Amino acid sequence: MKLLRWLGASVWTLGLLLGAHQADAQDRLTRSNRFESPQRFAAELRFAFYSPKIDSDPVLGGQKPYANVFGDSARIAVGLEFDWQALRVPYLGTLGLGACVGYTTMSAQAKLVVPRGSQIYSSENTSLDIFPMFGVAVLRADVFPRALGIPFVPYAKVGMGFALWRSYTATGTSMVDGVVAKGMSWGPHMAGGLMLHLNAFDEYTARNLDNMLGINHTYLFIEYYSSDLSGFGKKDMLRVGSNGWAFGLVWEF
Amino acid sequence: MRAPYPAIPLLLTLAWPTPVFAQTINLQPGGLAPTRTLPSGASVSPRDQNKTPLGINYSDCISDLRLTFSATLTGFTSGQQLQAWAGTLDCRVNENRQSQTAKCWPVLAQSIGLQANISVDIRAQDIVSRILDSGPAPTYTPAPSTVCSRQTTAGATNVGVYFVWLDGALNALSGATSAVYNVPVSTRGPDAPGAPSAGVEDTALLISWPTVSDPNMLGFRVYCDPPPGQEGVDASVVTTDAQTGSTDATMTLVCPDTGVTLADSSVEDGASDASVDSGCYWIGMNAVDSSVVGSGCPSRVLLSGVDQASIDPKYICGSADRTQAEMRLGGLKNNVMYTIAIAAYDVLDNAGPISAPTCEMPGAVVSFWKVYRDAGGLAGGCALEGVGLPADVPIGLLVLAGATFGLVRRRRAR
Repeated sequence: MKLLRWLGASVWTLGLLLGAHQADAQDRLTRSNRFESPQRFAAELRFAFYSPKIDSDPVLGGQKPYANVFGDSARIAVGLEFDWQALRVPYLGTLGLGACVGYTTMSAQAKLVVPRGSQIYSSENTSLDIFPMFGVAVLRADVFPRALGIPFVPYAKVGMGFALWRSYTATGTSMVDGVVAKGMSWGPHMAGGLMLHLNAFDEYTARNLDNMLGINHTYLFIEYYSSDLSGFGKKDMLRVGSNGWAFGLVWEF
Repeated sequence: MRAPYPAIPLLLTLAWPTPVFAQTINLQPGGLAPTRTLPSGASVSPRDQNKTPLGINYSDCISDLRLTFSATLTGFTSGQQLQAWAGTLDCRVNENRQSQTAKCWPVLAQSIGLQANISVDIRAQDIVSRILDSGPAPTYTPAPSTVCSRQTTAGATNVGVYFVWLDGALNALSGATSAVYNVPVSTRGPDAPGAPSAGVEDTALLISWPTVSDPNMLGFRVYCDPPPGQEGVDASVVTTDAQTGSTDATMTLVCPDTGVTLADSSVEDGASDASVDSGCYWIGMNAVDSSVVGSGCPSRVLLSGVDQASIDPKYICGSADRTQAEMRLGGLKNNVMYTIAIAAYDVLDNAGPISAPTCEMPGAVVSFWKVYRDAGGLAGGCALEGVGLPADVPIGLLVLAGATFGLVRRRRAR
């Protein structure tokens, strides 16, 4: 809670220092901006390579239960992010708050407790569902397309990540010695990336999209993220956070 | 020469047809289905809607089902006949009743007595009797129950029950209105499906079987021995007699009621059938040997090719529609040997023979959570509800709703 307050205060302070004004007060750096509808929000459809860092937990003493069961390959996490672009920083870009909810799952055939001759694996899957989420401050430096005509927007996100998770088999949520296999993990989240401004490739369609749906800008993005959901080193937290690349689409509206 | 004017009225009188009223028969009520009764007079409950409730299946046939038709007759005169025929071609056409390629046969011993309101019982066995035959129909004799087993291939045939107006020479009366009631008939269930396979799960088995493309098939029934929940109380598992000479040294016979636990060799050495049959079951690591009733599975009930009708319904442990090729049987006991077989049934609820059985034991599995906790992991135990978020909350929908709200608000502001 304190951290969220701190983040909020930081955003506002930064805005004031830079002489920020509301995002819907459009800048007039380029000619096309004059015809744009007001812009206050952004939405992201994201696909991230997700490889939980469960095995990095020191309490496991170097054992790799995750890799042993699910292997080393990353899964794809699908996510939706929604940003409120609260501030427009002149000659830089937008600054706001964002929240994202995602989902990823991993399954593998469960081994039999007692193998049947050469048959080691059962027909049953053991699975881990993760709902990764984060709340972040987002800075998108859209000065490049607006002022310079360069169709790239670098951006950065800093905040807190959360994840709800559950491990289960066909018989339901797993339980060992009375400990149920579901819970929540949290920790710092940060990301940096680059967006490609698609309006530049088809201004006519972009303008129609704005007229019809109020979507000002559409971007492709790629980012590198780090979500360390260890509770800042807590021992009883399943480290379902991940580092990796993400890509997708962004709409500003 | 005088014109023959006086003869004209006479000629007209001779040539003009005598006015007649066309004969009609109207099935009641409103041409709907006949009632279905047994010879005892007991009415038969219709099958489920998806199982062709008005058709005739093997069970209808073998139970000597009667179809009772009610009808009203008009316009008939003496010298005319109303007869009931069944056929796979139009029985109103004389050729289809009389020629060498005829496909119609009588289903009543004599003509229907002509009166304004009639009620006619027609036996399902008579309707089924000559589906496979052609040629001039013999005089009516009641069909025996053996006709219910004549069909050799699966699939339904549409048979029409015709109420036909005939003249004295048994030719159809022109201009008469006959009644037709079409009834699907099939007295043979689908062939036995291929043998299922069983995957081991914790207190469950994952049963899969070859897909079947028969369009007349409606679904599958899965049979288990012992039935789930009746492990140890079922007497059908193969006991000492069939085990004699087996090589399944790791099998153990458990009798919970008597507290007896016998290794396989002990059983072979002479445990009495009586004690074995009264509430015991096998556990162990391997299926029994192939000498056991030819299937390698310890069941005396689920034998390859056995007719479903001869199996106690208590052995049905699941069902699947025709598009399925897999189902999970839960609620089983680990390390108990289950014999599994499947059988198909068709759109008229005819049951086919059961497949070759397979047998398998559910067994405990190692979940990721077990591996994690055994490795020293300390996480867990926190229910999602405990943090104020039920596990089934569609979080994505909440986000989408927020975005939609923002967009709508944004567009209203323009």
